[in-house]
Amino acid sequence: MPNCCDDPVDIRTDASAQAPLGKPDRDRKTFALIGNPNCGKTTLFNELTGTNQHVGNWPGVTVEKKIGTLRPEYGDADIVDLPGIYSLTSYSIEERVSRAFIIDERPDVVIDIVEATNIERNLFLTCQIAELGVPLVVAVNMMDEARAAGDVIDTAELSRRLGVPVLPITAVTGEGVIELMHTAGAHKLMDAVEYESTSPFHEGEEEHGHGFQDIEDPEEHRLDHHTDEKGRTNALISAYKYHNHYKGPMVYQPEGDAPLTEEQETENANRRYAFIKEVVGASVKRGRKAGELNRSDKIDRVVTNRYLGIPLFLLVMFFMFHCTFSEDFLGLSAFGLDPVPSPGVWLQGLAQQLMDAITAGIEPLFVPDTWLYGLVIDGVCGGVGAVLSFLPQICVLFFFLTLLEDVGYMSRAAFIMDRAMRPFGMSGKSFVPMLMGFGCNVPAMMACRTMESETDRKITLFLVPFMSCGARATVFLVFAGAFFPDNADVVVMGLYVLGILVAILTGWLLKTFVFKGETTPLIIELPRYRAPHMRSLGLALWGTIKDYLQRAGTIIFVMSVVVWFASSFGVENGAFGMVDIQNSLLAIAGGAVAPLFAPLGFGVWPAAVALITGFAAKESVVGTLGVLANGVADDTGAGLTQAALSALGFTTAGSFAFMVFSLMYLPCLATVATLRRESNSRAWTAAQACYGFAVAWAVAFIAYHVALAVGM
Amino acid sequence: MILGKAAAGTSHTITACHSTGPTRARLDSLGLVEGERVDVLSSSWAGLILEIKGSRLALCKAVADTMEVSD
Repeated sequence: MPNCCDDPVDIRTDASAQAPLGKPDRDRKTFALIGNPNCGKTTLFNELTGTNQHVGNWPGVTVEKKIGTLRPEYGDADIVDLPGIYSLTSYSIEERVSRAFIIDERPDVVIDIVEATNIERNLFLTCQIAELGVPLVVAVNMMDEARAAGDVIDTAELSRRLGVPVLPITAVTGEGVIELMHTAGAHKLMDAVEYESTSPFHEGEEEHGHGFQDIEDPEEHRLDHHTDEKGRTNALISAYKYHNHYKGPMVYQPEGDAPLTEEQETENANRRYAFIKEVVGASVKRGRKAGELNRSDKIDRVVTNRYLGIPLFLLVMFFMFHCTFSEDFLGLSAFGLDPVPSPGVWLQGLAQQLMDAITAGIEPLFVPDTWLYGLVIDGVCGGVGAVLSFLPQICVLFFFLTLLEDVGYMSRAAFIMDRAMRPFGMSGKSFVPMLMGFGCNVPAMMACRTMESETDRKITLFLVPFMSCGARATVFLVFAGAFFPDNADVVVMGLYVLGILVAILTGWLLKTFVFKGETTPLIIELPRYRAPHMRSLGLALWGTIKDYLQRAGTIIFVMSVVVWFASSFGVENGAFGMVDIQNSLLAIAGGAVAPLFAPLGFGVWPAAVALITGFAAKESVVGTLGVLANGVADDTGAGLTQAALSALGFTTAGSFAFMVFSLMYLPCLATVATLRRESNSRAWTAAQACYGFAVAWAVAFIAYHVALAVGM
Repeated sequence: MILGKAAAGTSHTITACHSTGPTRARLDSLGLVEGERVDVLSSSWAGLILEIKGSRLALCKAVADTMEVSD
């Protein structure tokens, strides 16, 4: 038997002496949270750090590592929340991020979160991490759900059989978290661990023989024997193994630069799962028999039904838009009764009244017809106020999106859309980031990191900007509410569906003419349905409000002031100063661009200017129109009403085309920057921007003429 | 038989998997390995929903058709 523990001290010293692979200089301990997608890592991270990172009930919510500091009651250390992964292979970006962090950054302790109701599958990753030899503590999370399902988990037995500390926790309630962190805090890198001579890990070496990681010569594993980084990495991993109690099976390890063959990978998986089966069989008693339908399965029978799946998806979306946009929520006008507005419309009315009251309150403080009055009342109140008045409706929309995510519906939506997208060369896996794009395109693009296929990832990055984000919803709220008050929900839902259709068609074009090849098959975990957590919903809503207010107070504010200035000043009679809006700098600049939009039915300079400012942030379209409405149409009443928009030159058909154009033309600056970063290609970013503009123009042209044809 | 043709409510043992590359690696990591028992919870035009190792996995038809199972 190779004696791998003859001289662990030397190896430890050498390992820490190597600069590239050595432990980074740190004054504080660093813990890493790792686990399968949707196992509750981010919930635990929030509990440990007191932060409010978004938590979702579907795979892929955390796609990049997040760093925080432990709350004092949990110790003194930094903690890193790594992306959720199923294994440590290197097929997707988030797997590479997690693997690289563990190997290169070498956290003091890795805390592996294992879902109690899904323990067998989750332990696969545990085995892979343990094989790296890093100090490891396993947290069996969601113990409350396991107990509710009648499961009994003997964590002490799990710990004994795995050879690593295992603690039961329920991150959402904080149960067991103190004990977990105390255990992690006491688990020091390489210091506290001793070689366990009875470990089956080592007993198995002779049995498995040549081909497995077999350390014949400890000298070979001194890091200074290896000049290349790969060799040093492997040596480091081997060195770590001397300090591990892990009792898992021997597995094939890559030798030098040669990766494992598929047969070896599969053999490794078989060995791990055989070991896991044994461990789980001795320490877990399930309250439910395999194959027995639980509540989630019964719901899925309906939700993913062959005939009902897509109609239900559309119905869910319609209900969401109906609650957000409908003026006649209960359909009472059909019976000659006064309509009752939807919660979104009702709240928007209140917000508009509040903004009007604020404007009326500060108006007497300024002398009318002065530049200061114009700046504050027309510029700031008109621009920022117009955007803020739609905050409640945005909150209602986000509430429903978060709710769908929280209960676990999003994965089902991806599954049922997979077959519909497949004829177009796309997979339901692309639909997951696209759905996220309904909230904001930026995190949606980052979610593309979970895709294994680089081609599919690039295509999906290209498609996400066609998904209507919350900021664009503000534009729809204004125009649909003003010009289509009786059918605002149907119009807005139509725009969302149009975005999906354009994205799917674009995907087909890319797959047919640019990236030929097979479509990545869909393999997706369906998390069990959960009752939404009020705290999670509240945090998501607060995040939306905070982000919206932040944008209103920064970029929208600045854009409103700039727009007010450019719409109030100009050259008249050879002198620069305050002028009539029709002679302003903005009117001249907008007038130069406006003819481009004339075939689309909104060839007026306010529309052109609003679209240009929308590149900074889509809410700026509304802010700009709010400022201009105050300047052009003082007698049209408060807010961006139909009268105010008509005074700016919008018609019903033109406003419909304007919404279509706003949906698809250039994404905002933040999205463009994210696309550039995620695709790592300026050309791809420019192609998306140009293509988006061309498609927006063409589809808006068609929309305008269809609208005219139907008598809008 | 092919897993893609399995009916809802049936149980099978995986006997072979003909996927390759990242798909194979993903199936391995999710426990869809030879000898493993799977319960088909739902089978539709979109694909299959399986219970394996206590978790629910949705597979598209294309993947399910690469897997051979026995009763």
